[in-house]
Amino acid sequence: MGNKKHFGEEDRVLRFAVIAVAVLLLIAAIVVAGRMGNLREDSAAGEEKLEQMAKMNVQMNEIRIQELENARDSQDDQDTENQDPGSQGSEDQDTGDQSAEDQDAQSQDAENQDALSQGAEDPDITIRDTEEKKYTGNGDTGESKKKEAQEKLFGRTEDLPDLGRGLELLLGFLPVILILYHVFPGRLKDVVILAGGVLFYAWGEPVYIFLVIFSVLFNYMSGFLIAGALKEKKKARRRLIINIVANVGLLFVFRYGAPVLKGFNDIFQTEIRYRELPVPVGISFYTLQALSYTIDVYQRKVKVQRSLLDFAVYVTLFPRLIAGPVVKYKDMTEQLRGRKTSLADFGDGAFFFIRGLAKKLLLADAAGRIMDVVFAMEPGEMSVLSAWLGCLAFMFRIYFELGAFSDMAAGLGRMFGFEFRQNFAYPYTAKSITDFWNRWYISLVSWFQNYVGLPLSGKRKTVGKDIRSILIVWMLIGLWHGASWNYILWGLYYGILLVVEKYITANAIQRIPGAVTRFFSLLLIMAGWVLFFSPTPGSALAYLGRMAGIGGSGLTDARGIYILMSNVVLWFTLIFCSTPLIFRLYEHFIYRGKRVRTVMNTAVYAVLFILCIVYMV
Amino acid sequence: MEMRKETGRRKRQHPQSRRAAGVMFAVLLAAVCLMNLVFRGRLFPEGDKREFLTAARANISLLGGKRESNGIFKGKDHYLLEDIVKPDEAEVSRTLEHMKDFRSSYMDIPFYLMLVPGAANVLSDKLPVFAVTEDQTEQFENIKESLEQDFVWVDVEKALEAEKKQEIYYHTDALWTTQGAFYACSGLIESMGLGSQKHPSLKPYAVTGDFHGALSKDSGYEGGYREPVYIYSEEDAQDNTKVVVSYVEEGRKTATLYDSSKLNGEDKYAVFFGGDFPLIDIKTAAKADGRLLVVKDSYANCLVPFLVPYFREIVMVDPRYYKKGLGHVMKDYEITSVLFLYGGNTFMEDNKIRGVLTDDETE
Repeated sequence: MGNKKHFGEEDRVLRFAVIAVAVLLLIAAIVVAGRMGNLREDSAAGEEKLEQMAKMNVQMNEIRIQELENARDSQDDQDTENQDPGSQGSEDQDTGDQSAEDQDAQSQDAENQDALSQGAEDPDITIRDTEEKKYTGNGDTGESKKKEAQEKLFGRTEDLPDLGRGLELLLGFLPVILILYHVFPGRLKDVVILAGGVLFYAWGEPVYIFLVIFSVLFNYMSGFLIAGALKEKKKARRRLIINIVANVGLLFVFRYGAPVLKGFNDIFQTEIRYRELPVPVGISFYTLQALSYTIDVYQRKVKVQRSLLDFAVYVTLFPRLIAGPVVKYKDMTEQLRGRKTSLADFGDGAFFFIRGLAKKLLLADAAGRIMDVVFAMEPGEMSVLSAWLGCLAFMFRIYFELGAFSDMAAGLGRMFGFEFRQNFAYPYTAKSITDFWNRWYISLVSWFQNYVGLPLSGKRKTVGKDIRSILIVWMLIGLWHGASWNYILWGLYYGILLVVEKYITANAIQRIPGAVTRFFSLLLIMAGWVLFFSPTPGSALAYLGRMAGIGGSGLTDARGIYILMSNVVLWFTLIFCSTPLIFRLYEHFIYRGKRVRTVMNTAVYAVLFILCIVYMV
Repeated sequence: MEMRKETGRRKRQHPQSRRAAGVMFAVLLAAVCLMNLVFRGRLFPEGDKREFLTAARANISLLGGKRESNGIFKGKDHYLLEDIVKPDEAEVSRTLEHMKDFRSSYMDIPFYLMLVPGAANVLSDKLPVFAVTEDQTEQFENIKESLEQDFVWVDVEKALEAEKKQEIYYHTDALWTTQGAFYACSGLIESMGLGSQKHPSLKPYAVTGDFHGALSKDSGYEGGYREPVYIYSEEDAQDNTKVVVSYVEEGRKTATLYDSSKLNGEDKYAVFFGGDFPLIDIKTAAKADGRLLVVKDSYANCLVPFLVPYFREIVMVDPRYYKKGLGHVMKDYEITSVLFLYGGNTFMEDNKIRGVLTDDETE
C-alpha cells in the first residue's frame, strides 16, 4: 500500500513535469512560428560591386573632380572648349601624388578656416542652443501634460502603481523576505515582516520612512493615552479628537495639500506658494488603519496594544502591499501574535497571489491599453461605439487592477500567516447599487460605515440622520480616492443613488426580474465611472453625451470596430472573469467526480505564473 | 451583507492541491531568481534588448487575435507596418513657418519638399483586418497647401502607389527600400527639370540577404524574417560616377557612397553612407553645375545615390545630429537648390528641423 502510494506520488510529479514541459514547448513553438518566413536573396554580385567601390581611391577621385572644376573655371574664364576630364585624369596620373598633397594642404587650410569661422559663429550657436532647449522644453511640458492628464484620468496613480519595477520586487524583495521570514524563529519573524513593510514604504521616497515611523510611534502613544483616560469620558474624547485631527491632518497635508491650495489659488486669484510634495506611498491606507486602532481603543472594543513591534507590524502591514484591503484593527488583533504558516497555507497564498498577478498583468493592463487608445481620441472623432468601449475598458481596468492588488495582498498575507477578508465579490453582477457596494471594495466601505457612518447616524436612527450619514460616508469614500472634484462628485452620486434605492425604489427593485435590475445597475455603474475618470464635471457630461450619441461622430466607425474586433478574445475573457462563472467552471473542472486534479490545477497556475513573468517585463 | 456569504468566502482547495501549489510557487520563484542571477542582464535586460520576451508576448497575444504591438501592426504577407503618427498641429505649423521664413531668404533658388508616406498608407491593403490609421494623405495635403507658394511639392505617394506591387517598403522596417526610392526619384528628377533618368544602365544588386529591421525588434513579430538590401550600380562598378564623400565633422573621407563594413553589423541599412551623420559633403565627378543641399532623415540615405549624377556637389544635413545653423552651409557650399526629404512620421514628430533653420536672424 505504502509502495503504491509512493508510486502514485512519483507518477504525479512525472505528470506535472510532462505538462510543464509541454506548455513550455508550446510557448517556444508559438515564438518560433512567429519567426518563420523570409525573403532571402543572393547577394554575391552586390557584395562584389561594393568591394569594387570600396577599392576606389579618394585621392584619385579628388584629382578627377579638381580637374573638372578647373575645366569649368577655364571654361568660364576663357570660354574654351570643354575638355574630357576622364582622359586627362589618366594622363596626369604621374603627377597625381604631387597634386594630392597640394589638395591635402588646401583642405587643411579650409578646415582651419572652418574652425575659425566656427569660433566666430559661437554666439549663434548659443542662441540656437537656447532655442533648441526651448523646443525640447516644450516637448517636456507636452509630455508632462499628457502624464498629468493620465493621472487625472486614473486618479490615484500613487496608490495604484504600475508594476514597473514589479520584477525587482518579485525577484529581489519578495524571495528575500520570504526566506528570512521562514528561517528566523519566533518574534524575529515579526521583525522581518516589519523591516519588509518599512523598506516597502521607502521604495518611492526614502525620506518618508520617517513619516511611517512617526505615524507608528504617535498612534502607539495615543493608544496608551486614550486607554488611560477611558474612565473620564471627556478627557478620552479630547485625546481621541487630537489623535484624529493629527492623523487626518497629516494625510491632508501630504495627500490633498497641494491640490487644495492650487484650487484655492485658482478660485480666489491668490498666490499662496506651496511645494508639490510627492505623495507618500500608501499613506491613505496606513492612516485609516492607525485611526481604526485608536477609535477601537476608545470604543473599548480592543485592549491597548502593549507591544510596539506588533503595533508597527499592524500599521505597516507589509503583505497588504500598496493597495490591498483596508483592514480594521479589531479584525487583525488576533493575527498579530502566534500566526502559523504551513506549506498548505503557503500554497493557498500562491493561488491568490498568482491570480492577482494575472488579473493585473493579463487583464487590467490589457484593458488599460484599450482605454488609453479611446481616451487619446479627439472628442469629435469618437463614435458612440468607441465611447462605450472606452468606458467598458475603464470599468474592467479599475476592477481588475484593484482586485489584483487585493488578491496579491491576500496571497502574500497567507504566506506570512495573515488572513484578509474578501475585498471584491464579483461587483459587476450586482442586482442593485446597494448590492454593488456590498461587493465593491468591501473593506473600505465597511471601514467608513463603521467609523464614520455609525457614529453619525447615532443610536436613535431617524430618516434624516440616516440620509445625512449615507451622503457623508460616500462623499468621503469619493474624496479618499483623491483630491479632485470628480471623486467627490462620484461619491455623492452614489450617496444619492443609495438613498433613492433605500427609501424610494427598494420594493420596486425586488419585483423586477434580476436580469433587468442587473442591466440597469450596470448602466448606472458605468455612468459612475465616467464621473470618476473625467477630470471635470463638464467633461464627464460631454463623455456621457458621446455615449448617448451627442457630439461624437456617428454610431460606429472603423476605429471603434477595430477596437472591438481586434480584442474580441480579451473582451470575452474580461466579461467571463468578472462573473462567478469562471470560479464555478474551474472548480467543476478540478473537482470533477471524486478525484482532485492536483496536477492539472498546479500546472494551470504554473502556466499563469510564467505568462505573468513574460508580460511583466 | 448576506450577499457576501453567498459568493464570498472561498472554499479552500484540497490540502494536497495547496501543498503542491506551495511547492510549485517556491520552485518557480527560485528558478526565475536563479536564472536572473546566472544570466544577469540577459534574461531580463534593461531597455530595448528584451527581444525574446517582447516576441513571446507579441506572439502569445496573437493567439488572442491581437495584431498590434508597440504601435506596429502585423500585416499580411509578413509586412510590419508602423502606425501613422497623429501630428501635433501647432508644432507642425510652427515647423512650416520656420521653413517658409528660411526659404524667403533665398528666393532665387528652388526649394523642394519630399515627404515619404508610411507603408501603412501606401500598402493599406496589407494592414490587419479592421485596422485603421490616421489619414496621412490628408496630413500631406495640408502641408502641401500651406507651402504651395514656397516649395515645389514632389508627390512621392503617387509614384509609390503606382509601383505598390514591387517591394517598395521593407517588411520589417519602416523605411522604404532602394527600389521604392528609385521609383520616387524619377518624379523628383522630373520636378527639378533635370530630364529623365540619365543612367538607364543602373541595375539593382542585393548587397545582403540578411536585413532585419527595427520594426521587428520593437514589435516582437517576425523575429526570423530576413530580407535583402539593394544598391543600384552600373554593370561595371568602375563606371559609377566618381565621388569624394567627406564626413565633415568627423574629418573623414571616402571614395564610395557605401560602407560595406556595416553589412556585418546590426543595422545593415547603414550600408548607405555608414548611417546618419551631421553633415556629409559629396563632391562628384558628374558633368553638372548644381549644388544641392538635402535636409533629411534616414529615408534620404538610399535615395541620394540616385542624385549623384545630376549635381557637382551634394550636401546632406541631418538636423537630428547637426547642431549649427544652415545659413553658413548655404553660403559656404554655394548651394543652388534645396531639398527637404523626410519620412512622414519623422517629419510630424521631429521638431529639430526648426533648430537648424533659426540661426540666420542674427547674421
